[in-house]
Amino acid sequence: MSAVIEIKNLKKSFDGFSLNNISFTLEKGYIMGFIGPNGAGKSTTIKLIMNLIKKDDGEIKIFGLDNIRYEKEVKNRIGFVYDENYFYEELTVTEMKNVISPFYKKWSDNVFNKYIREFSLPKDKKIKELSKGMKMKFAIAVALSHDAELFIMDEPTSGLDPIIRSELLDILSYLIQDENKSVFFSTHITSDLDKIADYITFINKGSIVFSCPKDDILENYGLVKGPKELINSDVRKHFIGIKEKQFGFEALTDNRQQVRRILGDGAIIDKPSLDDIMLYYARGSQNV
Amino acid sequence: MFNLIFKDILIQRKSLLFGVIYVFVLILCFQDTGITMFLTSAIGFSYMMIQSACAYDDKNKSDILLNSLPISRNTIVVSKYVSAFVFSGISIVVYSLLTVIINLLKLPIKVSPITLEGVIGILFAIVLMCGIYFPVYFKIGYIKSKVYNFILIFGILFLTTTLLPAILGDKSKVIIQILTKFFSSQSDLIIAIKMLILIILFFSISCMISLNIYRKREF
Repeated sequence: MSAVIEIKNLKKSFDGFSLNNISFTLEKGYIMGFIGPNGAGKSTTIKLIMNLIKKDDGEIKIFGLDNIRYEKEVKNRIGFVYDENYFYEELTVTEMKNVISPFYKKWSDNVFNKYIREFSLPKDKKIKELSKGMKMKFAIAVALSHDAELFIMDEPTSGLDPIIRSELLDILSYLIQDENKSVFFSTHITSDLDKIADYITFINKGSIVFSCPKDDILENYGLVKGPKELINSDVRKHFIGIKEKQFGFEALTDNRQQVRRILGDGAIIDKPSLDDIMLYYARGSQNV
Repeated sequence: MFNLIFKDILIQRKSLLFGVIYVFVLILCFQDTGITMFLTSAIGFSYMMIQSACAYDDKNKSDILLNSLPISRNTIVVSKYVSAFVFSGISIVVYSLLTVIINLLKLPIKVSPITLEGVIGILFAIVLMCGIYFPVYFKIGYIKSKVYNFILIFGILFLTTTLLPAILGDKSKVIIQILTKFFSSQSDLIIAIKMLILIILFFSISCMISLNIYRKREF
């Protein structure tokens, strides 16, 4: 296996926010979901990968190459989709394609036209006349038309209706059948990832909380529910966050076996959703 | 690179038509002014197109798109500088087409002919304006640079029409005499070459400053 994205001790400070020493790796052929609350550092990380902003320290390697030293080569092999439309709104779909395509070494008009037909995109319409979903589909068509090996998507599903979102997810899972292709997908709509992600990287307040296979998370984490009397300092240290109600409590643990042993049958331990995990981490010991 | 310039033109197809009308109106306004008619309309039109290309880039936040494509930041900067010449070329072509049409239709409008010194004058003015404007644009973008642009244009006007004569007073005549003497003692070709070298030097320095600024920009 070879790493497609390799980030080591990446640092970036802004006024009032900093990315602290983040590290993670995405192997070739997988989909990684990059989750975290708004303002956690998802877009900052993606901008650093794309060299839109400058890192303070650390290392970013894409396909094993430094992302700045080999910037052009790396970007030739990346397909990107962002949360907003950054295309020239005054141009038509075809015109915009004509401006972009010569920059890519492996651009294929055939592939592009195939997706345009598949997505029923009007070729001669100006981009500003397209709906949000259409604009997103255009961005996806561009990202898919130059034989990219890595797809970087920054909140591609935000603001899209469930039908288009599900279409996008279908495309991604279809893409990944080619084992040379990988996807790095940031989102706060975690239900999208339940369906397609192999790995989950969770970022909170500028730090990576975990980066591991999705199945591991669902296996180790547990949503514990039970009466208040069960809580003691012994079990409390296994809780990431706890919500105490008048009689009962609900808490998240990253060690469900241990908690099961301590609490016995007195408590119910459910599988948490990614949303639950995000929520408990973000709120910590405060009332969730 | 030519792709980026092509994009700058494509994006303002509509203003191109408006530009033709603009040049025509200027021709009407500058009757009996000789070469000033040619200079004003071509410089005005070029600068307008250059500015609005920057405006469209800014409005569409295109820095994010362009810098995500496999394009180096140097290419983005250099193509803006080259586009200044392309737009000057377009404006000269538009002007000449209009003069041809006016002459063919025998309209009762005087047109100043296109001369080599006129073309050099246009290039000189565009290089001067863009050479000062582009580094600011690459630093702070179009919207914020608007204020600066305003100061630039009126500053130049104020400096040349009010401030300098006021400071220099009668001395300005002496300076003009020295300049005329300096220029008249040399052949036109030498002067043209010297001007050209000066223009190239100035534009290259400005381009280097812009490159430096843009390489460090964050989006």
